[in-house]
Amino acid sequence: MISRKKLLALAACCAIAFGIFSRSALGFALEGPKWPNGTIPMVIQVGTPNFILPDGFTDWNADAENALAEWNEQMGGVQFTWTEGDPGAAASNTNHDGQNSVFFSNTVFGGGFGGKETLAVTVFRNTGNVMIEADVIFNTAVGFSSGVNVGPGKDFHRVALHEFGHVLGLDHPDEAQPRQNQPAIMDSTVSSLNHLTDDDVAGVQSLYGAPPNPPPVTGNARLANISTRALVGTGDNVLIAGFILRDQSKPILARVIGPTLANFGVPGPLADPILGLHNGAGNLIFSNDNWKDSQQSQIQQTGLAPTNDLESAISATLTPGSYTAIVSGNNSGTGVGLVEVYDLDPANGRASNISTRGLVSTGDNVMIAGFIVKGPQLKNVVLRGIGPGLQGVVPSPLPDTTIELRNSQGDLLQTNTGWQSDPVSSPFVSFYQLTPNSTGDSALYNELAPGNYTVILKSPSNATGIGLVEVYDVD
Amino acid sequence: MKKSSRFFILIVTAYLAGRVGATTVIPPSFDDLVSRAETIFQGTVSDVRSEWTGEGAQRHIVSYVTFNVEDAIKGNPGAKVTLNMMGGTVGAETMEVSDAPKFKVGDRDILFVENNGSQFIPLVGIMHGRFHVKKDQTGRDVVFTNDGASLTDVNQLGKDERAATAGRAITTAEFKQAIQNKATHPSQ
Repeated sequence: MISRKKLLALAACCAIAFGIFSRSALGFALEGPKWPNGTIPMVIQVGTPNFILPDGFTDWNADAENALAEWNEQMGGVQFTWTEGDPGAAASNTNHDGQNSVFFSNTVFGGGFGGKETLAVTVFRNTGNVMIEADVIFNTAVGFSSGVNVGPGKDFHRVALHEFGHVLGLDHPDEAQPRQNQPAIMDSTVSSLNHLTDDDVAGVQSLYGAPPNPPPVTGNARLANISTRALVGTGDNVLIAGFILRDQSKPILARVIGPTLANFGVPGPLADPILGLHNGAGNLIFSNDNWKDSQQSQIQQTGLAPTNDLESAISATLTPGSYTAIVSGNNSGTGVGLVEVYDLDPANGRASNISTRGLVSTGDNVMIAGFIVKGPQLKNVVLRGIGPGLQGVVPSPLPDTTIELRNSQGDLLQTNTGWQSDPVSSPFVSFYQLTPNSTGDSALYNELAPGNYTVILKSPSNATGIGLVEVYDVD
Repeated sequence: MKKSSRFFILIVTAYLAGRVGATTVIPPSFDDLVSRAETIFQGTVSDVRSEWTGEGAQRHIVSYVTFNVEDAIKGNPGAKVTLNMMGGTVGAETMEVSDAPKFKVGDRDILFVENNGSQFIPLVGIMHGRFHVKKDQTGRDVVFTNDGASLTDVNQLGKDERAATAGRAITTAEFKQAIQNKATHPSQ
């Protein structure tokens, strides 16, 4: 039996060890004042840039609001709220106007920034330990962009996350005494992080508590609703969409749009598609010719029923695993088809590693894959366009590839021809063991804002052949 | 994502970005500190006084931090220097600026000053333009960065902050000699 004395000694050792480990694990630093429980209303006045943000944010306002939302999902006692204001009115902002403003300026309330090395500052007022007002000022001279692929010190999203941490009352943990070495968005030095870390969350939850069911600190964004438009042929040239479900069973709706594409000006649409859903073993588990054939009411309840009776749809709840949806034409018909897989329960489980194989042609018949990122966190993705790498796997593979990543407005965010030619993306592609088989295959890495995206696969030499476009969730 | 993946991203992006500096203030190199500073001096804080200043959108609290100058290293600061720092406490109300250094009477510092009166913190690189002077165990005056780390290699400032602060702190005499050498021979 352990004596009381030994138990006390053991308890003391545990307490010391816990103190040491908790010190190293939770090294956050606090400014001192905090907000009373409730809401922190912010007025976002950063507006819209005159160029396309490469991580998919539509404007500075959306970028800042997303950063606020990322903090919100980890806090209990307070929540940011926000309204958008006129950037042109920011010149009259003061630090004693009772408004928590976020804006660009070339001064800090009249005082110069001291060059473009000072990216942004947070100016806050408090009485005692109660925050009264906090303003975030981004230095106009910096020349911000947004995303992992922009130059040093120019990632607006990262700086916004950091400054909003100051608004909440967090200080720099790497300047605390003693210093801590946990990676944190709140660190003062050497940081290309653009997401919160465990240390940041521990800090903010020490001030405001945790929400009832906090999501994971990182990696909780989701891919949803994949789609691919391509030319549907026969034999090896049918259109094959693949996807992987992780974590738990998930209801999905898969459908193929053919004749309706003519209403959108797509030439040569597939007149009468057929859809087959196969499991990872290659077995056909569902098939459908015309969507009203067997699941009409079930499909209508999803609100995603096709508009043309000849189009196909399947509603199913699938266990975790890999699946392929194969699109062909009735009576060996050919034409342009759009295959879509909708995640009907995006809050649970997730779809990852989505891909489509099909015939890649030119003009309107290039392959166009679409996907949606559900936030608020950013989603780390690797995109691949495979052509030459299919040599020996399929007849007539696409001999060379270019992939383009575009936002929902069709703006080009990134492009690649030959995966090794992108010095930023290629190390990530290799790290995630997604190196294509051929140097003629293409790949991109990005950390994308919530939103809708398309990936276009085509040949830079206007060749045709079978290609594979893939979107990997690498969180 | 696994934590190892996140660390990888941190490492890769830091590498690709050429080791990005501070999250919101990129630290200046030693060359920049010396060349941009209008005056560089060692002094002791003798007074800190705060008040509201300015009108309209520019109204804010400012702290006047007065130093007794003990050694002029660059320029002619005079016997006393008062630096205008945005932020401070007036009555029950405090205004703070993130990243701004805090001063109290008795602090001994070496300061790289620029644009006093027109810049919100009139130091080159904001907090990076302030170095603490403290006694080491042998009684020598040695140099620490604003965040309290030993300054060991001036040539790593603005390049690799960890390397700049890993090891024994250099003495004030060594630091001042390095500043004077750089001011005299900027290209070396």
